[in-house]
Amino acid sequence: MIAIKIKPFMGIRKAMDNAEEIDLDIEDPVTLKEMLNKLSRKYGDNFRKLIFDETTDQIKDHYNILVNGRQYQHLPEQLDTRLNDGDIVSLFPPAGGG
Amino acid sequence: MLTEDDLNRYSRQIIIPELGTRGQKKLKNSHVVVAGIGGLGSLSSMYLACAGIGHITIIDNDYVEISNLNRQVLHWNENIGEEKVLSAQKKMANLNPGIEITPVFEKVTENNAKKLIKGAQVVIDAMDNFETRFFLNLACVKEKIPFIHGGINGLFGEVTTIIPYKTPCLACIYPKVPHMEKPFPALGATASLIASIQVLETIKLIAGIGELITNRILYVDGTEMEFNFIEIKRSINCSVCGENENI
Repeated sequence: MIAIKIKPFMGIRKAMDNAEEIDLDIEDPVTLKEMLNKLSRKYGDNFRKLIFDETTDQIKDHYNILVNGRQYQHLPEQLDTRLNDGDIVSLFPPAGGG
Repeated sequence: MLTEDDLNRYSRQIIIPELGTRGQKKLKNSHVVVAGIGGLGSLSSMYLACAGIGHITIIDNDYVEISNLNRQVLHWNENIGEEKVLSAQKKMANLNPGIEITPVFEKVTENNAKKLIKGAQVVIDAMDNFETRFFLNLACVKEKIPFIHGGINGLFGEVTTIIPYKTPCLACIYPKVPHMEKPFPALGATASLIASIQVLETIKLIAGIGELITNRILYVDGTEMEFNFIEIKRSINCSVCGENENI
């Protein structure tokens, strides 16, 4: 059994029942993509449309998905990164106006 | 050297124990670049001028439009149609005639970014899009100039202080240029909140005091009035500051 902490901000938090943090206890090893799909099944369309592109069904590459402070795109396995016990995944949209 | 006028003008901040006359002299001898004189840059330029930053360069290639006036407080109705940098320079000079202001009416590009920030001690990111932010981030990292990133979107915003090769740069946080809706939603109060934090970071950096927002992003949610820090880390694969940098 491994425990992963999810920290959602802004719209994604609303889509996750306004939870500030979620502790996921998972029995089998899981990749980042599998975990996002699990969350998507649990929280439904409101979650999915924020993270996944509706046309391609791929994860939006501009959304901030950090594993222990690092953008997943910088990790060697990217979405196939295996999550470990105690990992923290942060989810938030970029703020680019000025 | 602080003049009699300086000692009067800055008397209320000189009595801040952490700053003092020593810190004020550092501010007077500093050069800060504010890239963008829109919602963020309007506020940060004013507070930098008031605080006595000796030399402020302001960069923008836009003209004042009526739709700017809900948030860009350095520009007024009478300035519609003027170059933003000139509209801003006039007010900043009135706020503080004892500082040097250099207006640059130019678009930040990959080719001119290094030239535009040359000689600055700090660069404030007050841009309204990620493309130009990335040019500035690259230039700041290469020139080893601290870069105070700020951005807003409606009622939320983010700030982080980037110390080249020591803390995550913008490309560590955003490996790809994020997509932005246009026009992006913007409120003056959100911009001023983020800009004020950017100015605080700048002053602390120059004066050498306090803790900076490094290795973390301050993420402000104005809707729920929540302030959260999100931990960020440098990436060895970063195309700008990583060990395998290829630019």
